[in-house]
Amino acid sequence: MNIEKLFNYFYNNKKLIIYLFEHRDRIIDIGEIEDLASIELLENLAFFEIIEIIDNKISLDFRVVSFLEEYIDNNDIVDVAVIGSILKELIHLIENANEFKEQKNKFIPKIRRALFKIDNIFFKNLDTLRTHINRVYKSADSFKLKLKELKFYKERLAEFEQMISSFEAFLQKYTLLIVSLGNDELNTILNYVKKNKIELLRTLIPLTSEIISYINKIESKNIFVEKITKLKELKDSYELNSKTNLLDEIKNFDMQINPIRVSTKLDSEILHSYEFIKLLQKYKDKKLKTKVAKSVIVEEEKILKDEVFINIYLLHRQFLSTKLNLIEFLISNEALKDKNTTELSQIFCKMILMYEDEYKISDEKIVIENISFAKVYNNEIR
Amino acid sequence: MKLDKQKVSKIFSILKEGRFINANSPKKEEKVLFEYVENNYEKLSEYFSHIDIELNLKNGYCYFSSLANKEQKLNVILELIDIVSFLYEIYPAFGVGHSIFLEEIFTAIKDNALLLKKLNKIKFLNSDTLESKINMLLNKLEKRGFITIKDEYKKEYVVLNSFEYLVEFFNRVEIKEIT
Repeated sequence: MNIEKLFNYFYNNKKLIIYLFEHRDRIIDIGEIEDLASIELLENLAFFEIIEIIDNKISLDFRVVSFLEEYIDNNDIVDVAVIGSILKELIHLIENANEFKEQKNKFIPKIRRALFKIDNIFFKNLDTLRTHINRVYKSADSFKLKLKELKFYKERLAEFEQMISSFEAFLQKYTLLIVSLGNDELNTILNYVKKNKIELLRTLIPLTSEIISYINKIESKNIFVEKITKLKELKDSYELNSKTNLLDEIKNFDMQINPIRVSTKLDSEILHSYEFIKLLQKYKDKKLKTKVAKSVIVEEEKILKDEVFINIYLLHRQFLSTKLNLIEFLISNEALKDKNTTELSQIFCKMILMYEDEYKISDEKIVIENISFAKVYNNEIR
Repeated sequence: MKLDKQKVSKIFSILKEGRFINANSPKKEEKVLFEYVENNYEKLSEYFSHIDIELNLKNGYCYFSSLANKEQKLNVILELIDIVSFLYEIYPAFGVGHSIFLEEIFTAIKDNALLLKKLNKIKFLNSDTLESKINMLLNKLEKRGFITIKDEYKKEYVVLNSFEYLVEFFNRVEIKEIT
């Protein structure tokens, strides 16, 4: 059998070979392919070891399958162990070529091929490993399965690294012997595989850290899923408070729950101006002037007749217990009955400033004596 | 360099609603805004501090932080426990960057009586039809800024970086007794 004859067989029987290759994972009965080839032809192909026929069951020869898988990149098995045996063979060839220098030309092409083969196997397997790792991480499989798969590929990656180390050790030990053979082409190939080996090691570093980070992510995700599932169980059985520190942790839950209200009608030009920010800063940092009360001399019994103290906090508490809007509440409040609208509006503003978080300021307005008040409610009512 | 008024205004109008700005948002404008926050964090932080607002920048997202409204927050957290634990039942790999489809959730629940039972037990989903319940569930997450719609037609949502905020928070919660 020569290469021309082999290719002719492939070409002339392409339909049959494609069919057998595509269905290589199951047993094919001869009857199934009778439209594609006669018995005579099948026997002929079996004779040239392109196909195998055993008990009327037909399959492609394993070498054809692995050639096609290799060539069209369909073989997704990570296999670097083969490098070990190629290295052994390579060492044997180099030693022979050095010992029997007069016959070195017989060994040199084989050494070249073996070096190329190792290089190809490394790159192909690295690519396959990378594809597998990404595929597993992105799959929708359960965490347990993903973790198991990733750990498996981590081991394969370690084997891969070990093989590169063996290859590195081989290169260190045999480079001089290879160079001493004095073949330029072989030396070029040697430099080429050495350069590629450095590339391989460079690629391995991110891939290794990637798989470790994938494993960590999945493990932490797994822990999170367990945690949230447990929290849900505790929530449903009303045990969250007693069995977790959730209530303490709320202090760390600092995301904004309600929209922030900006109660200013200043032009946005002014708001964004540097002068305005400076002004804000000035007042922000300014300490409030506080009046210190002098000690009251009881004997004098100084009665403050007109200055009635308004307890804003008390008003606020009273307001929270009503369903009225704030201004209506203030108007109807007995304690404020002698206050005019301007005074009421001051109290209204003070309360909003002090307890804004607990109030809901609606867009609805109410006009009292030409002063427009927003309808403000207790936050928990509406 | 002065801050870009338009961008600051946009950032403020999103964050003041209690939402997040995410680097992995499918909306181009949001990505641009996040990049702006990332590059001008110190200036922006100082800017907002003048109106007593704290800008927080985390890994791939930012938000206005507030420690007020504890009671309301507790309710939000309880709702989120219901939602997140439910979604994990359908998507074991649910997390940042994950795509979820309304149709997928719908089919998963229809095919699994146990899931339907669990969904019906979620109190705040007070709706009659299954589809509107799923919509409500997703809307809650979307309103809080943890997911966003990626494809209106396919009803595809994507989980945003801000989801990490929840993961970190729930991971901090300690369970005293695990049986």
